[in-house]
Amino acid sequence: MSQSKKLVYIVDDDPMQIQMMSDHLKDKFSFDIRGFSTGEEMVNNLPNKPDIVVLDYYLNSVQAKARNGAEILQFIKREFPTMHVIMVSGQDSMEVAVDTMRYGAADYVVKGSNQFIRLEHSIEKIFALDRLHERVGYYRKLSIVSIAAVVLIIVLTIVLAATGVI
Amino acid sequence: MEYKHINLSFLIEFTSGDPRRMERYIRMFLEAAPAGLAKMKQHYAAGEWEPLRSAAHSIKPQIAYMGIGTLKESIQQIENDAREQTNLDRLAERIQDVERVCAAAFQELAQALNELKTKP
Repeated sequence: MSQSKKLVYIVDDDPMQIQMMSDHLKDKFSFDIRGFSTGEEMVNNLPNKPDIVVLDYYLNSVQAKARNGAEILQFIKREFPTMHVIMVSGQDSMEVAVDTMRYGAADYVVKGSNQFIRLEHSIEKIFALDRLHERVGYYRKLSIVSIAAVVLIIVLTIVLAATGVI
Repeated sequence: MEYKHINLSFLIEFTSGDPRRMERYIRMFLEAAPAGLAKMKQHYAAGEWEPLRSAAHSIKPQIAYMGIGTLKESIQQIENDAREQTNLDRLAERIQDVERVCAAAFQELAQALNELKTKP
């Protein structure tokens, strides 16, 4: 894991959920964590580009008209396609899980006593994939530079041969 | 101490037995849960099924953390029935049942808080 502090947003209408997830993640990782009780409030802070958004599915227990997690997820993926979003829900529903993955969530975690470990593993997986993508990007650039160098050498050789230098 | 309605084994594991952290979560639950129950009753009385579903849904994980195992199914049933608007005639009885068990659990949690206060 890199030494720079990652920024994580937790969106849940239950303050106890925010507190417990935040405490658990602070125990396991060196994160800057911010909690929001509605998706709308979090969206206003998206320009700070969090590394991960942990998003509850139902967000209307306090504000009845608050947008639900699926709507917020779609907004995030439209505006910031590479941002990682982990959906959290008290509902163990295959339909909801499939929908959230289809909308671009990195994972779907069901609330309950296992959620904290699941969340931790999900975040580890996301960072491992990020590191892998960085490496793939590096090797892709390296191979392009290598091919360009070989082509340049061949062209130079032909030119030098044609002009009688070699 | 042995409790009848609550089981703090999850909280003990989650906090690595830290009494101050356990106290914090129990207090948060004791502050939020009565309001959650009141909301359930209020929405039921008004026939507001989606807000009732939402209130039951919100309290569900908190009940799991406090180990109030006997309520797991009742709360899930209230959530399902409110969402699908089925078994509405049995909702009042289920909500009363949840209220009764919660009242006993709140007392046990208050006892647990007193015990935790004595721990360094």
